[in-house]
Amino acid sequence: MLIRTLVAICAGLAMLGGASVAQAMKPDDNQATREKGKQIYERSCLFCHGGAGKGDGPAGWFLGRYSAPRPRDFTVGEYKFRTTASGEAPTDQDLFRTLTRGIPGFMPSFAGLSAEDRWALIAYIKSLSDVFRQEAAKPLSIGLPSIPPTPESLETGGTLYRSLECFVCHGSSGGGDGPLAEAGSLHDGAGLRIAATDLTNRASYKNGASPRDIYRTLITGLDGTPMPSYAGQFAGKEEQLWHVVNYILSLSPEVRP
Amino acid sequence: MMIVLPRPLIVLGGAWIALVAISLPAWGAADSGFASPAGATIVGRVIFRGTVPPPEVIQVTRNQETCGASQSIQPMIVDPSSGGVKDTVVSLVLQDRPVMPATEQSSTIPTVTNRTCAFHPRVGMAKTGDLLETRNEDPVMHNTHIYADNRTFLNVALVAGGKPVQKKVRSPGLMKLTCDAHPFMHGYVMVSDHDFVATTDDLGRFSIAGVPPGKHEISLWHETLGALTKQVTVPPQGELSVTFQYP
Repeated sequence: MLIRTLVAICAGLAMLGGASVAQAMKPDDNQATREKGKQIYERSCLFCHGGAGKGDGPAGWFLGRYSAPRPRDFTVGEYKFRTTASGEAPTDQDLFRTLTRGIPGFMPSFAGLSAEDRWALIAYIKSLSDVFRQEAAKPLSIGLPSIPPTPESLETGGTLYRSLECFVCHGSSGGGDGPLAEAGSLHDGAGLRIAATDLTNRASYKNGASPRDIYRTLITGLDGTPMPSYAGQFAGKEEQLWHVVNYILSLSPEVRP
Repeated sequence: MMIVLPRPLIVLGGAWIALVAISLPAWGAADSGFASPAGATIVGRVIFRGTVPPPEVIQVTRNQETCGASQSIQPMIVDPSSGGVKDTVVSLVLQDRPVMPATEQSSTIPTVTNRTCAFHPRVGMAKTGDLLETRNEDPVMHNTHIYADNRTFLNVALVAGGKPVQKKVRSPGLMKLTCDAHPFMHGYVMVSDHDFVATTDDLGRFSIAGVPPGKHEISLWHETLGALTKQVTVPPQGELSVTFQYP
């Protein structure tokens, strides 16, 4: 137990340290940085996201021709993975997280690029949409500590999962097979058919599968998809969302090889 | 040299200045509390002469106890006797804008209500700077998903008995509403950056008050009938009557 706690503390410190180091590598957002970012973009991103960033690169066309997700169109300024409220621009850190982690099953991790190069790439991507010049990104707070997944918490979470009608898309057992998903009624902003996340398989959680990742997804929603933000429904009783997080994670017991 | 006026004259002069001040044109003062705003009033009708297509009937597969067994979707609501078209947005395109009233928030909050699995109103209006509210009166979960310029403006869950959600409207233009949980639900909110806008009633009538004089363009938008424009010359006062006809 003690060893596990120490490992968790060390991992937490390492993550914090990593984030700080990455932040320290962030160059000024100026013409030279954007130019450097453009060169990296043309080497690493163009094939999916296209020459003008419209999500219509030669490989992207085949990826998202008939079903979602199509590669992001950076000229629109709409992003799924954010810490900001529904319909708002993401923070730089949000873009850095997606670029570093990748999107399971769809976009590779670009952690192989130096932190400075990733920031330059973000500066260039932001220059493709007016949204970043018009809106100041304000992250939502995830200040509360998570709640341990006790049987009581899981029961409360299960009740909320049903009353919030999560099952309509994700299914009663979380298999991504709810009635709307099965009927093919779910579409993204481009009108392409989109699947509901299979909550029994953590590898399919595109916005991450840690408790904080799931909490973030619940309060921000995933813009451009049917997944809505639940922030307004839990204002003043945010702790209840941790029960939902615990229940969702209980649907996909971690399998250790 | 200082001119000293008799006291009664000062009082009279002050009263005259106050009278002139309140009678100066207050363009866009439709909701500023004046009983009859300065400027002219454009009154008109939007009519359709043609055959109204039958409604699209969609079989409901979920939440039938709330949504009904089927939903009849009819965006063309036309009064059979007068031909008046409901839910047309009539907007003035101002050539010379004397003031920018859009910086002030409206006293009322434009609201879209989810009721019996439909948006009420189906076609609404808001002004930049307004808080747009969406609420749910149904005993089932809805999500109000609003797109503006092909980008999500808001996508929020509204659970049964849950809280309404508000968001400030920033840019003018047409917003499209849908509910991913009930894909047959559609609605619109036209966002303007001025007050000279109206939607037509059941008989296709509209009225826009306090319009500054001059040559203006009136622009129409209807969900299925599309856009129409007309140039008008607005007098300094009184009423200007305009009739639009689709197609």
